[in-house]
Amino acid sequence: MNGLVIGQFVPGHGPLYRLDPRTKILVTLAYVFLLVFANHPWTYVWSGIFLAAVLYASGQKASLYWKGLKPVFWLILFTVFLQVFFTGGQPVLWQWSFLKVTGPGLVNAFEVVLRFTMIVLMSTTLTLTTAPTQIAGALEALLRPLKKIKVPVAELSLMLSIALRFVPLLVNETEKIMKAQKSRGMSLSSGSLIARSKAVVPLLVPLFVGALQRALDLANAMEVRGFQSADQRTRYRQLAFGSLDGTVAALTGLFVLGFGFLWFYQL
Amino acid sequence: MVISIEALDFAYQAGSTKHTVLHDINLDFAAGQLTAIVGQTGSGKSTLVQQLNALLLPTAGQVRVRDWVITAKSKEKHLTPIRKTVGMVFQFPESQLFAPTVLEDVAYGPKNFGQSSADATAAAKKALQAVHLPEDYWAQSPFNLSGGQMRRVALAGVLAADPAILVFDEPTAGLDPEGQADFLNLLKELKAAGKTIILISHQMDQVLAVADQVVVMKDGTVAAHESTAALFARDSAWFAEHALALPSVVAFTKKLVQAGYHFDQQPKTAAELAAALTAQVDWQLAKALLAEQGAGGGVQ
Amino acid sequence: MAMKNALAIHNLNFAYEDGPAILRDFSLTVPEGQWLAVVGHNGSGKSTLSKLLLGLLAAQSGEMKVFDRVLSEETLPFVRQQIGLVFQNPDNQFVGATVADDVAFGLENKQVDPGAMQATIDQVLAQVGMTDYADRQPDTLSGGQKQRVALASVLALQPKVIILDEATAMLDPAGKAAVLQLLQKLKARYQKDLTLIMVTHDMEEAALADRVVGLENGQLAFDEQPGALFQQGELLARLGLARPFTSALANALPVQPTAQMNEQELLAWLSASKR
Repeated sequence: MNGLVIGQFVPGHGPLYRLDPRTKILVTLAYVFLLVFANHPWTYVWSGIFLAAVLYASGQKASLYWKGLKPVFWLILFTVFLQVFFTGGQPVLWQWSFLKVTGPGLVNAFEVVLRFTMIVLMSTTLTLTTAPTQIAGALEALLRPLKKIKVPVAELSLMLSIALRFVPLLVNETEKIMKAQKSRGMSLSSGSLIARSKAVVPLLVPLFVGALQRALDLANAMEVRGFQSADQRTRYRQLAFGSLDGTVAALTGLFVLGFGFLWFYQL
Repeated sequence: MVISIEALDFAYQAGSTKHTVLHDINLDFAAGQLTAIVGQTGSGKSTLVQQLNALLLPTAGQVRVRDWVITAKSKEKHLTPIRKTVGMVFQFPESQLFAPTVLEDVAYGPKNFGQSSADATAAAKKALQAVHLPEDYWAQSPFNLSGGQMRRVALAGVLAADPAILVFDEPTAGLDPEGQADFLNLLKELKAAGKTIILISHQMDQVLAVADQVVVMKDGTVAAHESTAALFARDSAWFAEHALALPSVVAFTKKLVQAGYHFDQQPKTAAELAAALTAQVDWQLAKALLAEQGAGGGVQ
Repeated sequence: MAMKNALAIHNLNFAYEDGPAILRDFSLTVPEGQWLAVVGHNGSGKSTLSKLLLGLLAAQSGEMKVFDRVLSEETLPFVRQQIGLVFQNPDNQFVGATVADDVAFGLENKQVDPGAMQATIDQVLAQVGMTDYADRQPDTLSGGQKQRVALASVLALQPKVIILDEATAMLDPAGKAAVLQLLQKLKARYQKDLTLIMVTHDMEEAALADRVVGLENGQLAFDEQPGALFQQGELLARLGLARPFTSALANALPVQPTAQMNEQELLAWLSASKR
């Protein structure tokens, strides 16, 4: 309930919410892929401008993104530490035993933080503005060619969307079982490692039994409403590229071209 | 007072907004009393009782349980004695069962609270007897039992630690009338054994039947805290305003009072109401009226 | 014109593997358009019955006819088209990510044209009073609202029979009242075109039905109109069922009306007879 989990969907009204989820997935993938090639200050500035436009178009508050970044803060700090203290090269600015701070190390660290933050912000925007089931639907559409090689794309997509639908329920259930067992004196914070892992059994068994019951009930509910196979169904949510998607595709194309230009001439 | 809640506020953070669930709660619970907590879904009943054994900590204010004080700064490791004193039975408590046998599951609480294996098993047996679960089931897997039996095992799992204070959150939800009647009998037995009981219930006829005191919650605040008799003496409009259903026997009694009947105290069942009516009705006239309507009448 | 039978169950026997008999030579006929309550205490086999009817469980012997067609592997799709089922747990039957998606689920299975779905969804959500919630996710709804969505999902498939398998057992009084009110509205609107079957142990609910059948030990213990049933206190007690207040009060008075009186009639009679 507290804070923002990475991958959480937050309903909103920005233009990104009206975009076809396939467009969003493809643009995100293209962006992350290109960032790997960023090599010079102008490529970063160019990518930063694109990112800023995307964040603006999400229509969400900056504070929400800040919360999204917080959980990965320690990860970023750790990579900074590695980059700063373990990169060789000249000039050496400071040295103690095997640890040293070099000019290239500082530059590297800065670049890594920048790249990492940009990737997290971009992918957070995708999940923030796209309902999980929409992502599942879009993946199904994008992966449809794999059906030819017998990958059960429709089944996998349905499984994914149902699994996602049950996440909030399971989180609630875990919380409730945790409270019930705490009331019966359960303590997870004391004792040896073995004792502690044993203490999890009273949480896991009820959770598993409950999830199994839900699964059986759900299967019945699906069956009586005429479900036979994930393939033989029509779709209520039709994916359709609109003019907005065209605009975004054009802008992304412009971004890719510009990036290629900056990258090639190493400006 | 065995429990005192003083100026308690509770809020939680979701995204960037703060949701206040409870505001300025001041309540006392006397030892040995049965207090019912009623109110609409979402009025804060469950959140309130979870403060009593520190599953949730207040945002402001405090809860006193005997000599312990629970505040926003209470530390998890100091809470065990409070949880031993305040037993908590959640809604649909059968979802907490986990052990291979009924007996082991019920012994889980007392073991956690520091009893030896032998003592915990003895306590578990006593608790299973208290909920009237036949001995044949004790060595079975709790998952093989019927819904009603699983509910009893879960109740026993809380009773086994012998808490002085018991909190029940809608304990009869989903039970059939027989199961509900059994539970009411258990409540009466527990009360007779001197337990302090707090009962969240949507069923006002249950409240009428067993409660000494009633707390009415509305939008996260206490709308009323009074004796059961005082509560049911309020008029129908007040109940509607607080989204509470009047038990049929109370609603009917109120209508009879309007027709000129008098009752020294609120009858709790149809039989009690019938007994209170007997001396006030002119049965010759009643029979004549029935004959007139052609509905016929039989004398018992 | 003779009335058609929606359901005709004949000599049905069922037991879970290694378990005791749940239904024993059970027979029951339900005419089209009837509002039937099936009552009994927990474990009496009343919920098993609805699962058998929809082919979620297979009976050991006996026959079930749905609109004159015998239930079998081949007729199962037909049967499931005729009968809609609302289950007890509001959370475990919500398939879609939003209210509208959940209603759409059955339509998708029927391979309805996507362009035609929205009209149906709007219509059934209006019927259950959930229009404003179309885009809501299930975890933001109350239990009563979820059950109304479950009913809308069933209505979207236009069944002739709707079975409610303890559909109000997990709801608070407000949620339960809303669902029962909705059922009355639907019945008034569809009249003979809708057969309603409520599996329940709540006598207030049973009182809404035209006919109440009681299960005990896998067999029919009674088959009555609600008014007549409520006068049989001993029978109700034996089956672990609660007697409605009015009937309990009338029964406890020294002079009893022989015919069933409703609350108003009882009150009027007592008011007029005051000493």
